[in-house]
Amino acid sequence: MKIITLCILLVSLLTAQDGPFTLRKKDTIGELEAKIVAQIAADILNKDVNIYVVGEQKDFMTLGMNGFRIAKNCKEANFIFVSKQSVDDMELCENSRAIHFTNSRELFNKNRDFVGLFYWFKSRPNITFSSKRLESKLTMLPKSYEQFIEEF
Amino acid sequence: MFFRRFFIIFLYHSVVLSAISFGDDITELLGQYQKEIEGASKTKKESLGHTIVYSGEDLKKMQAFKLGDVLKTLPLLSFEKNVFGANSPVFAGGSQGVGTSMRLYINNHEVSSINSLSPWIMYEQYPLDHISHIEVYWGDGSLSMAGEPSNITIKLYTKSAKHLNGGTLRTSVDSRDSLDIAVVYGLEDKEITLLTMVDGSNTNNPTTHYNGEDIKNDNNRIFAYASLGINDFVLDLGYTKLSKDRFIGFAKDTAPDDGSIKAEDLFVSATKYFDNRSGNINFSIDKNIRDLKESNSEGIMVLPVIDLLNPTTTIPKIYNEQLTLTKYELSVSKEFSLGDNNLFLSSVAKTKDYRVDKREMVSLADTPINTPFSNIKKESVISVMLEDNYYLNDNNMLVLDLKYDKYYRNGDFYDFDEFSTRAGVIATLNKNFGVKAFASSSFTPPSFFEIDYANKDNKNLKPFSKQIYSLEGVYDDVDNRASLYLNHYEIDDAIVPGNMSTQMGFINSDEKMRGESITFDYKRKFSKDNELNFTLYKIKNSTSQYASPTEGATIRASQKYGKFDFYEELIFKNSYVYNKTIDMGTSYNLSLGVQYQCRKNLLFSLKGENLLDDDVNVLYPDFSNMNNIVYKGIQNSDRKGTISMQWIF
Repeated sequence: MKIITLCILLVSLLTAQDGPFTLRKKDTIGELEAKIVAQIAADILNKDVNIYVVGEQKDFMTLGMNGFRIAKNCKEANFIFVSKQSVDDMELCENSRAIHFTNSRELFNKNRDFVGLFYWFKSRPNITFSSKRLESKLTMLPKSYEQFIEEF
Repeated sequence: MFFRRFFIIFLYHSVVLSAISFGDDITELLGQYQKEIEGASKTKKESLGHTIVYSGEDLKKMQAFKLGDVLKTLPLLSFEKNVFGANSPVFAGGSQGVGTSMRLYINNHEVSSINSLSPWIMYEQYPLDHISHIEVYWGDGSLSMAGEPSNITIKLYTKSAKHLNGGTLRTSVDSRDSLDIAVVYGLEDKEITLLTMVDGSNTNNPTTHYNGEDIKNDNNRIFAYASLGINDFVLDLGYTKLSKDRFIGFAKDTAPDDGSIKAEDLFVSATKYFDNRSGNINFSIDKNIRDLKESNSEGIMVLPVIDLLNPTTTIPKIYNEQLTLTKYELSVSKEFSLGDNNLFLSSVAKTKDYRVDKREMVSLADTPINTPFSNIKKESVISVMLEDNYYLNDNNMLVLDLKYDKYYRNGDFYDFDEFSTRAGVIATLNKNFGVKAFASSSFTPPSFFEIDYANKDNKNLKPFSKQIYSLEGVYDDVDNRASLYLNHYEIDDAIVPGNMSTQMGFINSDEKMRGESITFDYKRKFSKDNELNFTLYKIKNSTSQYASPTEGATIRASQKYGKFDFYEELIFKNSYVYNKTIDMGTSYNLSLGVQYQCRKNLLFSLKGENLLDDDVNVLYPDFSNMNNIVYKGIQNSDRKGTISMQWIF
């Protein structure tokens, strides 16, 4: 009986999945940041998302959401996200008609192609959309995004 | 303006589209994201021991503005003032004093006193305004860290400057007219981040009356912290200044006539990370400055100079001391992956200098006392550590720690070396249930303070050795988390106070000390903003006399209704009888808090602490009659209310 119990215990140890302890470090913060950007893309486009990420793509690739695809280049994309670590690579997508979004305040302020910004300010994560830039691109936002629109 | 916004929203709603949604509300996601940032997902290391985490959200709900607000809720401890009036966690059953087995880190820098190895007199009131979250590890996790050996390791992690991107201002005023102001500011500019914090407070505590004298414990404190990050280089600066009443000090009759403690701690720590932050090299300097004054016409129990056969010429009535202690530390650490093994290798060299700038004593007979405490002036330590985490798979791990320490000391003190080991297993039995078990063998060295105050016949105290065995079972699902933690320890050569008449001062105990503890913790999440946490513990050890409660329970609950947050906390400690004569009653320390989020960037808080006026009583000795030492119980804290305002800018 003891041998059977030990075997069951050993098998459960070797096959167990996701328990109460996190032994391998996971970048849950990076995953959540990607999820937020993906959610914004889905809410704005309201159709399948073809996102082109200028910067680290790893966290977007593991999202595993229906109707969400990572584009290989700007031309294929209907949503472009430029991360602040990769602002220098931005010229790649300058003529794209896709919706541009970033987490770089500097880029958002100087480039009017960008309709929205995801950033930290005053100890909390914020999203900002420019009403003029949205209007110029005839881009519509869901009602729940009204709180993020600013008049400039 | 309104039309423009209306136009955009109207356009959206007027077009019927086949909705694509990932099922999450964006506001909800932002909330989750903020919680994750203020949590321990990036820093918590399961292999360090048995863990309790206070997330940023927990600290906010608890209105925990000072470290002590968190420490008092920990199980297996009592929160008691030592003779210098510093609230310190005391191991259940043990006596108030200056413990050497608890380590406090701010990020990766250890801030324990160089003299006593205890951090509490300077850091018990450390502000938490710039702290993201707190991790508490039970067990000898220090084997894989550069610090001194420990039984409990408390790690404070500062907020990230880039996530602050702005500032906070907090002002707190309590019912005894104490005032506390804290300012935090963080900014990020390309590769540079800067976090700064300054806190100033004056705290008025109730005056205790004893033997017709007043025992005061008011204090003024300044804390400052700055962290500058440039790519993979981080420079941390910390400064703490304390000016307080002496409280009981070493007064023979428990009530000094006059006295003060002035102290400053400063540290500078520079870290360069390499190989994608898997390795780092760190150099740090710590400086502790102490200026202690005490006068008492009945005498001061400065044990190193007292000869009970000649009390009038050896017991001081005036005691002034100025000390400067400096620690230099250099460490290199690197994490490697070799197949299923994750190896952590670290090497540390540190040297501590102990300088007595002034030590003046005048005896009861008005003669000067020049007896030195000890001739220790320097201690250097070289340590090498290796931790192997062997992954059976992603959720099961074997842990092995090996550590070698070599201590070099000057004067009459012998050098020694110690080899410490720890082995453990972290097992996931199914998706809800897991087990952790550790066995460790290590030591705690004598501190400068213990050497100074050691019994005159043997100043060469041995480090005490300890074996700790622990087992923890955890059940966790989405809404419930329960854990049962069992611990057994054995200590050889424990450093304890000797008998006052035969072996005055610290000695290595001849008796092997043993003890066990059991802790049950249960957390229930009724909803996103409605939580209950219940903790119960009991200890038993081989000591002939308990000097603090051996059982306790803590209940913490929080709720949110609209813009209001509520918090309830009840800390229970059991009764015990000291010396067969002093009945130390049960205590029920009740705190209630409410917060009102007036605007997004403005929060008002009200907290009542010890509302039943029933905190633990702490035992202090009265040596007025050396043939009959009596103990006095003084309540650790009185009822008080605090109102605070936090403004985010």
